[in-house]
Amino acid sequence: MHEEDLTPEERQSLADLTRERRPPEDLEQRVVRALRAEGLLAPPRPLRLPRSPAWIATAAAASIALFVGGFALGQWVASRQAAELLVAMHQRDAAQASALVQRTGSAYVSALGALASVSGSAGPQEVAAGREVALNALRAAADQIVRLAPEDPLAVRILQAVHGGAARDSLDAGGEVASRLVWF
Amino acid sequence: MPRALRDADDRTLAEAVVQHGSERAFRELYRRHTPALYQFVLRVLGGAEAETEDVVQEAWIRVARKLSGFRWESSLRTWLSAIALNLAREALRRRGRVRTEEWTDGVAPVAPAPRDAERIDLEQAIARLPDGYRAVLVLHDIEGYTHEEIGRQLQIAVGTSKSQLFDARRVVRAYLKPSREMRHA
Repeated sequence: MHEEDLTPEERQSLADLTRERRPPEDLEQRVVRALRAEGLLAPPRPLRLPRSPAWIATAAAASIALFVGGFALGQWVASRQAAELLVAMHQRDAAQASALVQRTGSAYVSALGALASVSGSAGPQEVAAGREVALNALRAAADQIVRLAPEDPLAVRILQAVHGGAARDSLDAGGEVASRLVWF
Repeated sequence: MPRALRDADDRTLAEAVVQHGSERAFRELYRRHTPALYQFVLRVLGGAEAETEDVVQEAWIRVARKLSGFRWESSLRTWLSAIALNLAREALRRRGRVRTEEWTDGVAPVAPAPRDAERIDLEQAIARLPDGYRAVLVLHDIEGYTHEEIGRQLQIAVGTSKSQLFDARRVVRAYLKPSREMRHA
């Protein structure tokens, strides 16, 4: 039997068969490694860098420039971040302080209201002590308001009024400026 | 891969490998010829991938070893394929699947009956052939070898090559018959 025994259809089918197939990816590397091991292929050349003094000086200068540039950039970024952080902290602190003033002010007024409501049934000494504490707090608050807004005329008048009252109280008590510090 | 390397002929690349141990030249040769070689060996071995890889690797190693003595009377691909074919035959012998009579004259194979409902395409039919018949059919009908070349390559008589090709085609037709009938029904 010879080639002519194939029908045209069979011949075409055989001609249509693929002639190439992609080998596995790692096969090439395996072959190359084996040939290197036998000394049939040269070993891979290591990276050779020029060693002239001029090249070394240039490389050193470039390294230093790179280091200094990186350091400066790092410093700038860090300082910028720190400034932004401080601003944010201050903004947060101011908001927190304002909220605290509001809360303690409400508590102060509520406490005075409670003192007033019990003043009829309580002893006169206790009521007087409460009143003194309240006034001292008011004076201290007036000092801080003026410190906060020295140009505010209302704050100045409040300060004058509370300190004037305190002076009169002291004079009423015996002509001496009596100062009792009440901590709260 | 540089253009000059891609444009270089096999002989120039081979000289670069022999004289300088040029890995890039070798890789170019490898990439140029391995896809066809791989398919060829895979067919001869009936689709055994692992064996095919081993044969292809060993074929390249043997070619590289003998490259300095290659006289270029045939193409590199022909030489490479011949070496790979011998290695494939050794692999088949190691498998113990090659019966001696397949490489000798006058024994007709019996085609195993394929399941009618199963479509067997040509590639599968070739892969199912006995190893000796498959080698002759692949070499002759797919790779275009003459019977004289096959006889030299496989170390068999020309008449053996012809009769084995006849038997191989008969078995392939028997495999393909049910699917053809189904297509024409």
